[in-house]
Amino acid sequence: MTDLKNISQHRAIGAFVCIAALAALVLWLPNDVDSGLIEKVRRRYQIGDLLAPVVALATILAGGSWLLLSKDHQPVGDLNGPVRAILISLAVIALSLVLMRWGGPASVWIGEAAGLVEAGTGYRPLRDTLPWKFIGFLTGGTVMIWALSAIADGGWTWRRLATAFLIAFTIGAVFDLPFEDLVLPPNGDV
Amino acid sequence: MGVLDHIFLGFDAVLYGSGVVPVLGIGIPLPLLMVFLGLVTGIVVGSIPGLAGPMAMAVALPILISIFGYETSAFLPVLGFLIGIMKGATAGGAVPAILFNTPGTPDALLTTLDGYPMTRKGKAFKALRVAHFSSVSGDSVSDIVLFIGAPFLAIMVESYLDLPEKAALILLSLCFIAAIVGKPVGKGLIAVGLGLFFATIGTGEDFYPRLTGNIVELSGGFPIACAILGTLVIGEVFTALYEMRGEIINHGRLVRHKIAGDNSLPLAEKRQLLGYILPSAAIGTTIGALPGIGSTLAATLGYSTAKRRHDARHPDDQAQRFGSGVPQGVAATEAANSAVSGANLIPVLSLGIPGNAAAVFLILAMDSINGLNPSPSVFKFPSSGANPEMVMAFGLFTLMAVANILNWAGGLQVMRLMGNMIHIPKQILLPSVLLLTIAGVYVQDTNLLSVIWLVLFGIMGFVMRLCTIPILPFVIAFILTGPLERTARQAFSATGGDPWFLFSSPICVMLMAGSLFVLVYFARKPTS
Repeated sequence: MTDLKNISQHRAIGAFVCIAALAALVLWLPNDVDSGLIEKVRRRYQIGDLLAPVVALATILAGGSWLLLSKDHQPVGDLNGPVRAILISLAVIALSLVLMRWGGPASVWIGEAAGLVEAGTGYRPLRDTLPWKFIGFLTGGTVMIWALSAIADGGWTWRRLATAFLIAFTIGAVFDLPFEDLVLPPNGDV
Repeated sequence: MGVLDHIFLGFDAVLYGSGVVPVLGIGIPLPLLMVFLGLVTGIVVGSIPGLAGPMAMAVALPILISIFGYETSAFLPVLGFLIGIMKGATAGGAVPAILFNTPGTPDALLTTLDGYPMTRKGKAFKALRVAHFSSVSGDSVSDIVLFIGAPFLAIMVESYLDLPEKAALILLSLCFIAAIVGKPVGKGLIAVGLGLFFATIGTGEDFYPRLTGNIVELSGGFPIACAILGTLVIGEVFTALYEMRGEIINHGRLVRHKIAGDNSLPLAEKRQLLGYILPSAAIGTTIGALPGIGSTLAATLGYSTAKRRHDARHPDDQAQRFGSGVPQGVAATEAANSAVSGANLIPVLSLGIPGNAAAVFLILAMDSINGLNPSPSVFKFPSSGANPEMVMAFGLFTLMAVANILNWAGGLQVMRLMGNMIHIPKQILLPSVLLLTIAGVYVQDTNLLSVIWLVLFGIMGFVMRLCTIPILPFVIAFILTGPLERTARQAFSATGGDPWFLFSSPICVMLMAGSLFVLVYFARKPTS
């Protein structure tokens, strides 16, 4: 059996996009678009909603077929590295977004439990006040910068953490302090 | 009212239309101040390896709209800032290419070929001077052509191009970008197809938004900023983070070379460089004026044309050949890629077709703010009174000229200053750009779902880069899908439902034949 790593890169990409485009053409489009390629409305012919996606997929098919027929012999190579890299980056971003979304509400709950905030207040009435409105963005943003940079060069240091905090604070300040209308994440959603 | 009246009204709009800001006791028209701030921002951003003009434009746009609003009075200050960034970043991009051999854009890659060898010879400041002089000269030539040519070309477009021709022209520009940027053409076509496809999701004229799979959140389509910033910026961040580990191991820290000998650029040498700058500027201007083609091709053609000419003059002298650190190599590249920016506004203003990523953000700004809607009618003379859109267009041209003058006067000093300051480690810079972009997208939509779309388009950008599928055709196709579908629908109806409406006139046939020709021509050329 041929090893996937040794297949020509162009042919692998070509085969993948052709199969995906054909599957979309046959399975997805007919079930998810109301009108046809051409429609007759009030006795006049009009272009239907189906035409544009069909043209798009036909273009992808043409490009994929072009690659399938090309003479490139460069092998696909090892995919473990990039797959691992993107999964790690996504995990860090997901964790940061969770902290960003829940950091503020969690701190208010803790504040309520500690008696710093009146019980039952919740995050929503405080989301436009200091320091609550910054907590989620700063926590998530600091973790995002710290973890992604440290994964890249192995620099898991307190100094790097402080730098990440400073950068997140600066970005937050650039958007929030001068402009009353701009809302930092997640304060528009909660 | 004639052309001259509109030009004067354009000056007037710049000077008095958006208010005056006191700076050190002197009243400065707001659009001029914004051009200055945009230019400095652009040079700073362009000088930092890993950042680029479109990134800064993307982050700045929502902030600018938040400050100035959507009214007509906001048009010139916002566009002035964006134009300043565009021009500043083009010039500033030469700084990391010359000093650290780290090009931030594909255009700057060609600047490294002679710029970095000059640095290694101790001529870094001279290389910066050549880059600045050539960049601003190329830009000035292009702006003059824009000033003179845009109204006439737009009128010509209006009189010769009807709806079927406009649809055919958009198709031609998509084929151009697929053929030129795609290596091979098949990858360019895949990128264009993906851009067209993603832009059709959640849009259309039926009651049910197409291709949404009943997901309510998709019923308005993908937010344009998420698609563009995701693939362009976040995809680049993911790719750079992935590549960085190996880079740090292989290359270690950035190497700084000492300055040695005379680094000045005397007048006689400038005059001699003009022999390389002017042909490159002509190439850049011509390419910029064509819809859908970017500055990378201009830089490549400018460099290769000058190289052929220069190397033929010095067949035996290896030290004088392009690639060995000759100022002419830097001049040819910088003049060509900078000359694209002015002429690029011709298809942007008259047809709404962007030629590069920076123009995409100019169109987004024009779509968001009242004042000018890109179309041939921008340069139409009314039967009485003034055309307010033409006044705005000439106001925009005035701001471009001001940006050039400011760049001539102080751009080099900012570039030199940045050369001494850029020590931000890439591994910290890139996650910071990620957070900045997330914040920038969120303040526009105030919805975490937009952030999730942004990251998903980032993954798509990463995969496309991994497969060497170009991003620019995707972005331009995404932008042009709406205008293409709208024009095609109108053309089909206007021709009475003729299925051959794209071949309904000789111009249509020429444009469609041109589309096929560029695909076939570039497919036959061997890829390097």
